[in-house]
Amino acid sequence: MTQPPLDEILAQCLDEIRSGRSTVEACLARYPAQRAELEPLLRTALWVAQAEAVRPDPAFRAAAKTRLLNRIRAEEESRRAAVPPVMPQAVTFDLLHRLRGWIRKLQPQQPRRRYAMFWALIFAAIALVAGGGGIAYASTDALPDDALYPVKLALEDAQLLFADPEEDVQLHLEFAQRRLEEARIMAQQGQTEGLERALENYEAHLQAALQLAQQVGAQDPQVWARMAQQVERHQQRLQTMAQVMEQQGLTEAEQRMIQTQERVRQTLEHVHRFMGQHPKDMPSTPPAGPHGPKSDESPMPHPKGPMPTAMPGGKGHGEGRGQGSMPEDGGQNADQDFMSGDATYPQSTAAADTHPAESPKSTPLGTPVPVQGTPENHPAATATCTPAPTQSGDHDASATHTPMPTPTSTHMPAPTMTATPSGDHDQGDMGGGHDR
Amino acid sequence: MKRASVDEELVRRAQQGDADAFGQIYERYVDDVYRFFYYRTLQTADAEDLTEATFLKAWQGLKRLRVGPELNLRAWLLRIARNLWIDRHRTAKEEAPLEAAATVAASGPNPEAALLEAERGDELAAALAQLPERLRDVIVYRFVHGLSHKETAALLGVNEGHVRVLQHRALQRLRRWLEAQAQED
Repeated sequence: MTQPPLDEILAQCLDEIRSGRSTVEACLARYPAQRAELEPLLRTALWVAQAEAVRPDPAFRAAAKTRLLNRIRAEEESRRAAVPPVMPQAVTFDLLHRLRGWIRKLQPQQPRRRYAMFWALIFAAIALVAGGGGIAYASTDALPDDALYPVKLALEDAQLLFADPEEDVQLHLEFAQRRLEEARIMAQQGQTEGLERALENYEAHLQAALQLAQQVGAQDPQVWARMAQQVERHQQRLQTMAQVMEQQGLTEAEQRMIQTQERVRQTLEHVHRFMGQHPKDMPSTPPAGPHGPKSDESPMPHPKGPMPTAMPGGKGHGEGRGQGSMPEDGGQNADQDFMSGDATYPQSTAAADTHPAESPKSTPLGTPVPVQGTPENHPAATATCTPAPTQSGDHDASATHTPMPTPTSTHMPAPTMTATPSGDHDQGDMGGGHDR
Repeated sequence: MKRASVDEELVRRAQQGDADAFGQIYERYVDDVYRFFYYRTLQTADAEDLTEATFLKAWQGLKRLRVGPELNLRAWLLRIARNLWIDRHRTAKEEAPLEAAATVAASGPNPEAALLEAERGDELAAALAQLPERLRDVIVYRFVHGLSHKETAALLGVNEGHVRVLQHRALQRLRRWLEAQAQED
C-alpha cells in the first residue's frame, strides 16, 4: 500500500495529537518507515505550541483599549449628528434627470440638439476657464484616487444630460464598464477606498440604466436585450476579476467584488423578467437562464404600469419604508433587493440586526435610487433617498469568510477538522519559490 | 456559554453601537492580534501600533460582519491584521522603495533579530525570525494561534494541501535551526 506524502502524514499526526486522539509515540508506531523524519518534526511542532507566547504589555493593553473606546464613542456621536457630506451618485443621477426634464420644459418648441450643443459648449468653456485648459482631457484617464476624477465624472454626467433616454441607457452601461476597469486597477494597487468608490459608482450607473430602460423599454423592447448582453459581460468580467483577486490574496477586494456580483445578478434578473414580458420583440439573447425570472419573486413595476413613487411621509434618512408603493410582495424581498427603489430601501430595517452583511444598510454600497419617472412624467415626485452613512473606507474582511470552527485554546486547541489524507494536495505548490 | 456564542452576542451588541461590547471583544482577542504582529515585526512598538489599528479597522468593518453559527471572530480579526500588514508593506514599498527593501529583507531570515530575541530569552521569537515570512505565517497560525489547516488556508488564500506542504517545510527549517543552536550551546 502506498503511503501518503510525509507532509500529509505530519498534518494528520499533528491533528490527532492536538485533539488527544493519538500521541507522538502512537503516530510514530503507525509510520515506522517515516519515523526518523517524522519524529523531529512532531517534537518541533510541540515545542512551538508549548512555548510561552508573547503577550502585550498590560499598560499598553489598557491604554490602547481606552483610546479605542474613546474614539469609537466619539465617532458614534459624530455619526449620529452628522449630515452625510457627499451626495450619493444615485441622487446625483436623479437630479441630473430632473435637470434635463426642466431644460426640456423650458425649451419645448426648440430642437433639443441645438440646446444640447449650446450647453455642452458652456460646460466645456467653464471647464477650460476653471482649469486653465487641458483638465477635461487630462481627466479622461483619471482614477478614483486622482484629483481629476471628479472632473471625469462631471464630464460623464454632462454627456448624460444631453443624451436621449435610449442613449442614456447605453451611456450608463458604458460608464459602468469604465468603473469596472477602474475597480480592477484600484484593487491591484490596494486602494480600497478607490475600489469602493469605483464599484459604488458602477452600481449606481447600473441601477440608473435599469430605471431608464423601464421608461424606454415599452417603446423599444430591444433595449432590454442590449442591456442584458452588456450586463452579462459585466458579470463575467466581475467574476474573472474576483478570481484574480483571490489568486493574488486580495481577499477584501475579492469580497467586495462578490458583493457587486450579487447586485449584477439581481439586475440581470430584472432585465430578464422584462425581456420575458416582451418575448416576441426580443432578438436572439435568451430571456431566461440561470438568471431567469423566478415566479416567487416580487415583480418590478412594469413600465406601462404605475411607477412606484416616493411616499410623501417618507423620512429623508431612510427611516420611511414606503407603504403601498411597491408590489404587494415587494417588501419581503426588499432587504436583499437593491433594485427595489427608495420606498423599500432598508436603511433602518431590523434585518440588519441579524444579518447585517446581507442588508444594504450594512454594506458600503446599496446606494439607493428612487424608482420613478422623469420629472416630466412625474413632476410631483421628490427624491427621498439619502446616502447610507458608511464612510469608513474600510473593507469587509468577513463578508464571506468560510465557516471556521473556533479553536478552544491558544496553544493546542482541539482540532476543528480531521486531516484529509490526500485529495486536494497541491502538487503545483511543491516547488520552491513560494516562500516570500 | 460557548466561545462562539459569546462572540456572537458581543458582535451583535457592538454592531448596535455598544462600545463596551467591543471593549470585551478587544479583551478576548488583543493577545492574538498582538502576537500576530509581534512575530512579524519583532518590534514591540510596531506590534502595539498595528494591534491598535487592527481593532479600529475591526470596529469600522464590524457592521458588515455576518453574525451566525459560522462566525469565527478570531479568524476575522487575524484576517484584518494580515490585510493591514500587507497594506503597510505595499505602502512602504510605494513611498520609499529603499526603506521597503530593508523592511522586506527584515521579514525574511534575520540573524540579528534572532540573536536579539535569543538574548532576551524569547527562544520562539528567535526561531521564528529565521523563517521566511510565508513559513513563519504558517507556524504562527498553526501552533501559536492554534488554527486548523483549513483556517490557515483561508487566511493565507491557499488550499489546505499547500498549507500542509508549507508546514512541513517550516518545521524542517525550525528543526535544523534548533539543532544548530543546541550544538552551539
